Amino acid sequence: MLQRKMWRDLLENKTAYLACAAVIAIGLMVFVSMSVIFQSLSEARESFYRDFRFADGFARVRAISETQTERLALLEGIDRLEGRLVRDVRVHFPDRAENVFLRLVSVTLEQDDRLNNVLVLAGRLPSAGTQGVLLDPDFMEANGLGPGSNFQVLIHGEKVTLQVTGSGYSPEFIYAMRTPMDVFPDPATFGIAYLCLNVMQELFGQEALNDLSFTLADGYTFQDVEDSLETRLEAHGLEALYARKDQTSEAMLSMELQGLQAMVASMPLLFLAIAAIILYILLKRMVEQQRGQIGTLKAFGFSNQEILLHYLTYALAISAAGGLSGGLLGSWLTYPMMAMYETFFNLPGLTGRFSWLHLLGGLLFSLGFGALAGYLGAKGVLALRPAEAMRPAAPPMAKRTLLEGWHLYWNNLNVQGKMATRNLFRNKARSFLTVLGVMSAFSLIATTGYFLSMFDVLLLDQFTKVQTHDIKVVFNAPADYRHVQRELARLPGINRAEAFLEAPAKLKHGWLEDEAVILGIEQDSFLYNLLDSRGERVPLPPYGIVLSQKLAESLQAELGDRLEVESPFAEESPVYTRVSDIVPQHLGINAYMELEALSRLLGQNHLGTAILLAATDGTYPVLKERYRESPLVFAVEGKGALLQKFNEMMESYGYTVWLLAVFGLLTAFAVIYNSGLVSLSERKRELASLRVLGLTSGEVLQVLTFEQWFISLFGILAGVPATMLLIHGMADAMESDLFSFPVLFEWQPFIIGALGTAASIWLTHQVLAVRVRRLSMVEVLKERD
Amino acid sequence: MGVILEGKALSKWYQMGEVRVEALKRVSFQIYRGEFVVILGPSGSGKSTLLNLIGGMDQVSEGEIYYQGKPLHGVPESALTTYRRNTVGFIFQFYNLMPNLTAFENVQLAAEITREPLPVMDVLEEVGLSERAGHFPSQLSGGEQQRVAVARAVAKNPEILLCDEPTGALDFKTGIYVLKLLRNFNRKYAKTVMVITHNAGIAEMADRVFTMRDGEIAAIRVIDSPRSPEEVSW
Repeated sequence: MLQRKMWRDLLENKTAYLACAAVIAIGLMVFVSMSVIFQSLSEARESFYRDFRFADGFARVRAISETQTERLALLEGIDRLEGRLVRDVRVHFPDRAENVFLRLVSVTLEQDDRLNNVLVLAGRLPSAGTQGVLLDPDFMEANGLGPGSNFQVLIHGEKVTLQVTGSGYSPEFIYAMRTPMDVFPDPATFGIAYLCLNVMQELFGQEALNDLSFTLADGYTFQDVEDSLETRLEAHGLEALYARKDQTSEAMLSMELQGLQAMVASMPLLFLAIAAIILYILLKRMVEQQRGQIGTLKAFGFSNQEILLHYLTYALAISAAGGLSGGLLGSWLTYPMMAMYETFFNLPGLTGRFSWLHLLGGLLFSLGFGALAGYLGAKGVLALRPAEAMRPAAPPMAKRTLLEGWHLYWNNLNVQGKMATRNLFRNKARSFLTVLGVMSAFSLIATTGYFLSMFDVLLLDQFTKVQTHDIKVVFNAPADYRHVQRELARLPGINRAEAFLEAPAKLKHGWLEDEAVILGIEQDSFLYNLLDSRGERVPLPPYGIVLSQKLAESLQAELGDRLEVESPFAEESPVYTRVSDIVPQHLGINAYMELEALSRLLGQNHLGTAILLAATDGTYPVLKERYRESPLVFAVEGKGALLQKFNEMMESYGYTVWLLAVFGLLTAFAVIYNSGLVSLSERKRELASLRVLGLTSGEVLQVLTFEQWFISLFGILAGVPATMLLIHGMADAMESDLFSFPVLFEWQPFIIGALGTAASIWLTHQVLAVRVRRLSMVEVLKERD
Repeated sequence: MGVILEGKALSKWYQMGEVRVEALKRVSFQIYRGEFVVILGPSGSGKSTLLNLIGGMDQVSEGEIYYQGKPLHGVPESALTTYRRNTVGFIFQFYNLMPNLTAFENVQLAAEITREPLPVMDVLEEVGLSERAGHFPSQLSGGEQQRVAVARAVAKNPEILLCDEPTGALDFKTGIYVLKLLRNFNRKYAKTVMVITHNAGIAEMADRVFTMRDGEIAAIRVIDSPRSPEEVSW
């Protein structure tokens, strides 16, 4: 029978309980979906890495013979070491405007248990001696190729026809990007192709290998073998030596997993905590309101435990409803989300799944929260004695509040304002919790707004302030730039041509070291700019090296410090230079030097890897055509395609971010609506008396609305530092070597947050207005509570 | 003395599920300006319903009711609000003060919304509470709370003062004191006062007594020389 009472009570205030259940549901949805995805992704990664023998370390060199490779494999700490050829080539699609690149990776067919083995999805690996390639499936599909079809690539300026024999991928290219700067894979313009080692050696006219991968013997770490490998590879023109964790695809994947883990750890807790606040407030109010009923139940002989349990069931019913619907929704969500992950990650076994463990675990979690909130809210019933419970509660104590000492404020209030102010202080615990709730919701909306606007700022800055060139002509290999620069500068439509050098390097400061690309920029460059934290241009010092903030941090280098530089472009390594400036950089890790200073440092003359151009609109296709088959020019890159790619990425991030914003709004509404409802029910009698006195329903509503605006103001104020904390936390969670979020104080997100909160308040007031209008003066005044 | 309020065949019923409860059955009456009327009757006789209709707190089901010739039936809620605001003062059995406003502020609240209020401090003086103006209801005794309620109703300077069992929750002495205040307002300002009660003793101080039974006015008694509140007893 008590259960029937519960259902009717719940039904009576269904919006309030529904809103609370919705907040729980959001928490559980995030929990279940994210943790299932996290688990599924990590498991898929583990088994793919294991079964297809993903290497523990990698090295890029200029040239090394097979015999020398075999000798390296004998080094202490190395389990297996394999050499291969890896080359990026341009694909010849005559009717395509943008550049399409293919990374050719050699495979040794004789060996079955090779490292970084290829999972063949369709067709087969090319047979020995044929110019066949196995393509990564995304590239194949995006470019309309299939097993049996032919296409051409440019090798040393020559068109070479390759035949597709099938599709597949390896653990090395789960997340296939051409350079870490790309941030996002784009299968239409970049893909991986596997072909026979001897065929590739023939095509490039090169016996020597240029890429090594190795696994470590048991008990050894990458650091153990790093030095000995490095010394031995120096002679072969070592370009890069890095551990698995720094491998681009693995780094991106683990960054994604890290982000998921951070989400799983924080988001559900936040939502459940808000739901607990709402439940606590609702139950506490209900127990106060049902004093008489509780007294009667006790008089009938119900025990304290039974009554407490009765009120706990409210909390449990709501938690169960929210938890179950959120859990199921989350389980369902894993399917579309995994499908989305599948488009980014080439990883076998990525499908959504239903996990009883996570569903039940999450449900238990939410029930625990509900029970706790319910107990705290309802424990008041224990203290009531039956006779006392049936008497009306003593008139609520009222006191002058601290604010009344502030005459400027107090004397300007109308009576509704005074009532509201004192109400807030009368129920300090509830006011505080409501402030917490509003604060959380506000922070959620504001943080979302921050990241949304920051993405824009970051990318827009990168393309309108940093990389201001229109076209980049990339050389096939580092070379004297003067000839090409002169030629380009003379062409019609080109307003400016600046030489550019991208030199891979290892920077050392004391015992700390890091890999980075040093960008050589012309002294008065207009086409590539350094910016300070306010986005203003920083002049490039004529001497020394400029470090990006993150690089400086990882090297613990300060202005004036001496750095050791090793670079494959250097005549002899190492060379030394001093830090002349430190600038912020959010996309990638770079160091900067004046072009000629860099050339001199490397012991070279006028070395360049590209020419940056400022050009009129129609120039790009002309240049592309002109250098299509040039042996000197590797690619002509326009900025339009790049921008478009970034915009696409924005959109896919945007969808998640908007979802968060909707959650934030819903939470704000749930908190504010419930606190409003509770205030209304608590003061029905007072408000009806005001109506009898002749106040209009609008005037009566003011008592409630003043209270809410006032409390929300505090919530929003508290939300400002909370938002900064949240932004810090999220930026930390998302930070990687490739990408960092600046944490700046911006007004815009706070305005968005405030507007979202205000919208929730406004909506709540519409509901309250109806309820106040419907207040029956006759009913309320007839009886005492 | 002119008619200030007039009811013509007033009916009020409440639909309680399938059952229609008739609280008031075709009641007709006239109330004159400045008179002291007591409505007497047992619980459920319809006296509160009648007071609610007169006070503009509820809509009639059938019939007509006029204040100074202007209808109170079939008018929008906003018109009733204006009527309550400017014309009627209410005193309840359980005071219904705003718990978080001081005595002064409770009275001021009423004064603020009306057209020609009486000075708040004067009214508090009249009910003998000027000393306790800064106290909150929880710091006042029941009698004091009811005196604040009287002050609150009077401060609006209403044409009609409606009192629902004003002494019901008070001891005898305090009750008499409150009745004196009501009588004083009635005589001094020549305003209409209506008191509903089931306490027949109070009826002796009225100009006219309506006796209600089963939703009807069973009798109207005119008292030629009403007693003063001090002479009343129960």
